[in-house]
Amino acid sequence: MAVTSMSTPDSALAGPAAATAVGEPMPMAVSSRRRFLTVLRSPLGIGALAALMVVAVFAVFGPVLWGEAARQADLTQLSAKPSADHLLGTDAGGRDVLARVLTATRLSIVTAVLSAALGVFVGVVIGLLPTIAPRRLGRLVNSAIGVALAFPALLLAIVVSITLGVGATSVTLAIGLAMAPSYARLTQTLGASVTGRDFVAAARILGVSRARILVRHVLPNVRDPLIVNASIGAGTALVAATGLSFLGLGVQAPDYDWGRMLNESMGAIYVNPAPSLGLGAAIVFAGVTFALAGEVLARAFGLHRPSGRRRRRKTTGSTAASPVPQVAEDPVLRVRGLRVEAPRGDGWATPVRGVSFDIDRGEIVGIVGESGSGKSLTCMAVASLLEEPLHVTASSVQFDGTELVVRGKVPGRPRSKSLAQQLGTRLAFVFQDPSTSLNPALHVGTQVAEVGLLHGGLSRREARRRAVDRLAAVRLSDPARRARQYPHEFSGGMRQRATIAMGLMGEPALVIADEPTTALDVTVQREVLALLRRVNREHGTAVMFVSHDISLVSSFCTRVLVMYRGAIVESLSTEDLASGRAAHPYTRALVAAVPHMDAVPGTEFATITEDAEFPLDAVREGSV
Amino acid sequence: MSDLAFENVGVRYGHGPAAHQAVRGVSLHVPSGRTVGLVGESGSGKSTLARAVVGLHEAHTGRILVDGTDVVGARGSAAFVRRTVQLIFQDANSCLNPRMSIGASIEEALAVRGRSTRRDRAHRRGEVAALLEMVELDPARAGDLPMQLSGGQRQRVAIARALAAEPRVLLADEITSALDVSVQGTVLNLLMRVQRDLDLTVLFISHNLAVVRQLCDDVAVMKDGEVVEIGSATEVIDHPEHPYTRELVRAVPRIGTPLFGKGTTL
Amino acid sequence: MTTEPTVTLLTGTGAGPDSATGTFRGRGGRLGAFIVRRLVRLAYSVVTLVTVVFLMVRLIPGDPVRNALGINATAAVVEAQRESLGLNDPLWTQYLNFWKGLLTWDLGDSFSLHLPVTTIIEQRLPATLELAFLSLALVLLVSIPLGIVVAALTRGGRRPTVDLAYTSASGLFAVIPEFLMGVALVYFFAVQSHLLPVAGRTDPSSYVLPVLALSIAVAAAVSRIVRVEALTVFEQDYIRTARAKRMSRWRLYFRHALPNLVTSSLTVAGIVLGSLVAGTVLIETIFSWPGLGLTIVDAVRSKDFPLAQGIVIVYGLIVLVSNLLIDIVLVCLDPRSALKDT
Repeated sequence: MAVTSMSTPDSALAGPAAATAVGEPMPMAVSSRRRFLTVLRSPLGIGALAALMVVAVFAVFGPVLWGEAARQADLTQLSAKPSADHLLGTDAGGRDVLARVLTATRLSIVTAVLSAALGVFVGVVIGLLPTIAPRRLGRLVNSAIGVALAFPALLLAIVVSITLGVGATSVTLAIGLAMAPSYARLTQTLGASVTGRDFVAAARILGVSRARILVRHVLPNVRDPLIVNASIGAGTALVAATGLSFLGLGVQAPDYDWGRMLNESMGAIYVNPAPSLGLGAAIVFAGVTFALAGEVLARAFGLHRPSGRRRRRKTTGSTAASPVPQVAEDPVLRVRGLRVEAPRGDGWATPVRGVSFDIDRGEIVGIVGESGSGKSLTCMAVASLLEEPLHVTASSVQFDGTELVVRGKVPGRPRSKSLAQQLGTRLAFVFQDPSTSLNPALHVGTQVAEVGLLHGGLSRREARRRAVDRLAAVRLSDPARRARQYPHEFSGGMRQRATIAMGLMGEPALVIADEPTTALDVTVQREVLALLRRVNREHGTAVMFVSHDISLVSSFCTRVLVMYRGAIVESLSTEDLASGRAAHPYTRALVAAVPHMDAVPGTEFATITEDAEFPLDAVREGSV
Repeated sequence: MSDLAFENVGVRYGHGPAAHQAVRGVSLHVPSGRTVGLVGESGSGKSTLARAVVGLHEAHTGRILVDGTDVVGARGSAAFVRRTVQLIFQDANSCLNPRMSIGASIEEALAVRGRSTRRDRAHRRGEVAALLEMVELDPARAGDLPMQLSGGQRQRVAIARALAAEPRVLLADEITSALDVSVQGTVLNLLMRVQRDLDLTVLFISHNLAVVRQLCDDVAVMKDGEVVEIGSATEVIDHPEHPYTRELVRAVPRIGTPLFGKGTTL
Repeated sequence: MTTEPTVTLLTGTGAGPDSATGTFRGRGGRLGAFIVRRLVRLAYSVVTLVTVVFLMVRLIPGDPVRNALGINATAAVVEAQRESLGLNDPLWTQYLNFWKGLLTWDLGDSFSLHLPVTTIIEQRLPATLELAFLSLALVLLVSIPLGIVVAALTRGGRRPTVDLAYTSASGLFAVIPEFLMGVALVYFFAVQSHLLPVAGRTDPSSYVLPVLALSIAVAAAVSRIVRVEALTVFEQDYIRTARAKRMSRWRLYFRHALPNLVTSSLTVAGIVLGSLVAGTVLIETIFSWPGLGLTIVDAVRSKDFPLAQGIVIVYGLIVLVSNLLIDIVLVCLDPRSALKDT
């Protein structure tokens, strides 16, 4: 009986403030009531509701309708096989099995629901203690929960029944108490994640009382997953109670539930399997019902992303090429009409709308834009790294002379081995968050060496030696030792160096650096950028540098592409940008909004009004 | 009208040999009605220092004086004094309860101050509306959930909530680092305005030197839990003396100045 | 019934504390400290377990001796029995004696079998351990690859049909309790086809049905958890980094994703083991498997409380010690998990 309910601990806390979709601004809140109704009207919702109704109806009316029939013993029909009179046959006492199964619904379900309610109640009360009690007491409660959890609940229930004796009441108590620790742990985990958030800290600073924090701030934010798990818990309790009765430790004669009946019918399974199968069906049906109800609730609360289908993508997007700023002769990267579409709600959004640009060999080009402008998606797309459900189209993306577009699309993975090799060795990537972009379970050296192993035709040992050499090249001290360490033993700046070393395993023609220093301190930022600059000088590697920081971009790059709402609105040299020759109103607003080191102290900051709309049309470059 | 003084404050995390000394012997005076910037890199202890004032961390040495009252481990009336200090957090996503309307969040702060003990709903609503107006939000949005607001708007709600408690000292902990630069200015201007209008004492924590220079009267530079340089904001940032401050200032990117000019070694 | 709706199983991924350079103090020392800390917690858990079992039998209303002897026994007989079991001593003395007995491996005699409890346990324990650990091995061998493969097939909303089929099937299997699965297997393999033995522990074929009955639901449930964990891992930044190196999917999933799933899978194994041990009680009853489960059910039915309480303690010890071992393996695989455990 144990595990059954492990079925859905994946109802995870997708938290109310779950990450937003692909760099898009926070979507408007879907009214929770509407979501509830939508889920209830889905096939799953209707199914769960119907099943729940069936269970409820039998639980309420079963004994009324079939109680009499279940008591009547037909002494001419002892342990009879199924017949028209007795659809599931009769038991050893000549009583109709079907009537008894239906009558037993009430006791089985009531036991399950009551013990689940008891378990949830006790568990929630105990689990909330650590949130409101003084720290010491909280810790004590916590470890007590840990100990209780280690102990299998069924055995706990058996211990209780040793002393309470057997019977329906003690089963309910035993199972309820046995379930309490896992709910206590769930509540405590949820509670801890809420109390760690700033709004609780803010309430504490304001002097809001502990009780009020609990009621107004903690409970509303832990409620949904608790309800979902309570529903699943009813299924668990059903199985547990049935199991105990099956062992003869639960409901005793003359009462009967499904478990006790199953125990009785097991003996006769060789002669008459029908009762056992019927009971099995009843138990599974009720179990599935509770699990379904949990799933529906989870979706209704938005804890589960429904895996439903999306509306088909409309292929209206014109890949009509927008004006191409600064055409290069033999560019390392040539992009024409790149468009990225992403599913949003039940439709599609277009976070990148047909951008075109060239990057010359050895050039350092910055792409600047604010969150949601599509800059990160653009560089993932040109690197052929975006996969379904995103939809990437372009009329042409040429990297290092090779066309990446196949039938109008940029595939998420290279279509041939030679292309994989080219992308793997000639294109390097540095990602934003160094704390997550290296694999925590593999040695740094292994991760750096891999490209040599995959595409360089090197043996394991050669690849390893080259990796150490590359780590030295990015000026990590003691590279041989560093190669044997895990990423968590590195500081943020060192991790970014290691990522760059990874790119240097090949002969990169282009490094795409997506906000590589945003998570770093300014002094470390300077070091990492110096390294990128050195790679650029020594290997003639072009750099595509993506950042939200226009002053950083202008002080590091030679040319800047300005992105606004998925379009490149301007391309200009950093000299022009610095000397105020930006032509597009958005560029100018952006430059003005950056706090300057020589501003007059005490003056107001320049602002861009929140509802400002700028034209999406690009301005032509080079008017000066 | 309130000043904030740190006297030899030390804060540590953890116990025993694993303990980490986040703040070591910091003394700093934030005079009444002035804005003092606190700069430094991540892990320098600047946020910890601010959180120690409001009791989110406990200082294990030294005193933190609000108008002369030590608020370390504050109980009773000292706790009341401590409530005149409010902290505004960095992350606008997590500083508002997602299940409470922004109006209710502000109202809760009013209630704690005892201003809404008059059980007059209209009156309370009026106060919430006034606060929302003060932070340039439409009072009609009081019923909105935080999710329905943009990051900048949420940060302004957080300021309104802090103001509802009628603070005399505001601690602003990286309040614009999570925001786009286009939104940043609005929030900073708002902070500047309420500081002047209400004559607040402000400790402004940031890693953005340009912002600090423009916004603050004085600045303190922290490194590894210690204050290494302190002085008027323009003086320290334009003519840094401590080598660390110099390195910090040098690393700030500026439009039109190549980060690696001709002479720089890479 | 171990609901364990714990939500934060994901231990292998995420940022983790940035311990940078200075604070890192060598793996050996930390592992040692971790094991010491874990042993202390084990001791604490064992004391709690023994105390709870001790108190439950003695404090909850009702007289176990009266229960065992039935209402027809005279007061004098009951009293004599209580006296000989030491139940009339002060609670504190009883508690100390209980510990003394436990430490000298003497848990008294069984009421019903008239044998030392420890002898019975020694005879029956191996059968139960075999059943539990064979099932655990089967569960892990099936559910981890299954979860990863399904996650790989359905990530990012791909193949909705596979998703639906898998979710429904695993959901259904996961709610079928092991005793029903046992009954069903008995029906199909013994009643219908006589393919496999359904009772006793004799030749290897007699292991098949009990292990299957015990494992199927658990494997279905665990594969669902592994799938969710795998989907989370697939969305991590380091998988994107790996993809940028352009490797085969096989390498991506098994070289880069799998090591990050081991931690969470083992954590699940710890949880599951408790369930499997509990499940043996039912399975042993159905398949007449001569283990502790069969014995404890008889002991409870015949109100043989010395035997029942001894077996309960042994069950608890199995679970606690296995969890300790799993935690140590976890720390060896992923040193960061020692940091988190405080």
